[in-house]
Amino acid sequence: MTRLLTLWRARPVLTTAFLLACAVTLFFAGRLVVYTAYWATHRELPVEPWMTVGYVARSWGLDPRALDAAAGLPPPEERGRPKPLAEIARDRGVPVAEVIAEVRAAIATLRADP
Amino acid sequence: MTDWLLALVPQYGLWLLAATTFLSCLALPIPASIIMLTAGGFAAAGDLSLAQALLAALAGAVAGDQLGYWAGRGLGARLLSRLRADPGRDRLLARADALMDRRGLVAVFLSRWLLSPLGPWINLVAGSTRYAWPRFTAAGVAGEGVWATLYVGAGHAFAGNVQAASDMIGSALGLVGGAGAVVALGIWLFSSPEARKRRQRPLPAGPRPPISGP
Repeated sequence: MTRLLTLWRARPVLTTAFLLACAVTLFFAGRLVVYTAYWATHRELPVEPWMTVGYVARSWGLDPRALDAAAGLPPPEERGRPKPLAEIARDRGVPVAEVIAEVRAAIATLRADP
Repeated sequence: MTDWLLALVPQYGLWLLAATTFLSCLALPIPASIIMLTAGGFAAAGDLSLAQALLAALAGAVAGDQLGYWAGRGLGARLLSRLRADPGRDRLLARADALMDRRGLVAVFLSRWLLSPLGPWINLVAGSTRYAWPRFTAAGVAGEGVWATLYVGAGHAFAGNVQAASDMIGSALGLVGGAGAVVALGIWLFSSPEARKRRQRPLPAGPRPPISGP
């Protein structure tokens, strides 16, 4: 502590910068710990139109084909590319909110009765 | 706009990813980090291949860097003086210039991921000052590798939870940057002439030499 004080008298700007850098490092270390704790218990994402069924299923820890079946969605095409929910809605000619509601309901059912 | 872009990721996947990192390395305002995080999420969901996503992001970024470097090299001083007419860009370019002068390799490497807003400007400065191409490319590819792995990897690890992944990356980068500053400033501070003098000739009630005894 005395040493730091002597250093600070000799080079105030550099010592202040050093202490500031220490504070910033501690701040980010703390932030990292807080976020780690928070996100470890908040994995689930709200369902968005750009997500595919696989993306939603992964986030909620569900089997994507079980989610397809429970939500009444078509299974993925053979060799086809994955479709976002917005596109599934467009193919069916319904608003995307409707498909999202079905997916949400399916998640709730699968969660309640795994 | 971002949601619209995200919906294109499973559709055009790798090309979109490469195009995003390419354009963001030219200083265009593209949400490359969000796209990379989401691509990692799609990879976790099995909609994209993780290795291909990493390679696509890396290839786009390296191509963007090379275009910036060769543009700087071809257009040289003329382009730089025009860019510097804007005060904001002038500030960034001046910082990039100073960094290149002192330590080019480290500047190129770190401006890919830790100090990424400087990246495009470092490319231009490196080219226009004819910084050695092999060194630029080696440090650039290594840095972009870290960048792509960090973001696509975090997206994969957090299963596409973009908010969680970017919170974690933000904290981790802040921690790395802060720790780097602590080490650099610490070395400067504790080995400065004043400190050395003080160690050789301690004040009566002054500090003990730092390294003495076991």
